[in-house]
Amino acid sequence: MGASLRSTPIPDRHRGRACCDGERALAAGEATGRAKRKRAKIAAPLPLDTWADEPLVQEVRSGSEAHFNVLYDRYFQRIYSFVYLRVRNHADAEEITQETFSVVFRSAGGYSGRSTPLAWIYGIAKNTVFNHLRRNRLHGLRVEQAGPDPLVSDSATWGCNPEEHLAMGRYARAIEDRLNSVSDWQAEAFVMRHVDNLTIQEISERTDRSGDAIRSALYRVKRLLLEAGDFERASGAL
Amino acid sequence: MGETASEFTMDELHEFLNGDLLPSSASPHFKEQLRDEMWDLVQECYGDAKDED
Repeated sequence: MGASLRSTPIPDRHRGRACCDGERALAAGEATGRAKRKRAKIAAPLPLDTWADEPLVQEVRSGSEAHFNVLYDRYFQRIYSFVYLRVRNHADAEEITQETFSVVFRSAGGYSGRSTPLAWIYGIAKNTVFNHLRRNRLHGLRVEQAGPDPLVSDSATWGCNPEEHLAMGRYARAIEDRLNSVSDWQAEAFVMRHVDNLTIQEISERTDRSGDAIRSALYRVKRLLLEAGDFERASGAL
Repeated sequence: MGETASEFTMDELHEFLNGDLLPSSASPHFKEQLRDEMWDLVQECYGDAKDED
């Protein structure tokens, strides 16, 4: 545009108008800058833990880990407390909490927003607890471990020296300890899948559990067994 | 799963929310283990949605 308004000499006959025009131009520039700063301040994102549930669910469906973590943390204690008050033992509470979250996250894609996420998730937790208590009433028995302890070995059978036998015994006990932290049906489901080669559908029919619950159980047992192996390798047993 | 809020009473939902006020009785190890498991599940179900962005 040429020389700046401040440096260009202003003829006396135009001084009043030029001053006003110049001042207006300067004021307009300052206003533009203020507007830009204000827009920048308004556009600053809110902390995720202040977000409402519904946009969090939408972002989880988009595969956002940050939003997933906020939603998970927000609902974990609610679900676990609700479940524990009804089953009164941590093993069952963990199993039901796991099953509830599995259903929540698997079905998040179909969440339509007809009700709030709070009511939707509460409904899933309530139904999962109800189904668990109903199964316990119908069956009413714990499955006993069948036959002699398959984890007990002798060196003649394994063909290993005493040191190896001792290490394998520790490994076997590590596995057994971890399997004690899962419920009987979960351990059975693992055997049905990986020893009897049953499908998820077949296991679901036999155990009267949902496919989601079966998949979660298999994942959990697999992780526990892998952890047992990691622990024994770290301790030099393997 | 039903989404209708009218299926539940406000007392039930309040009880559910009150879980936030109770001391946590869950094992921290279980909580983090389940977090990893559920994140794997979310990636399995919706990971393609993120890749398409």
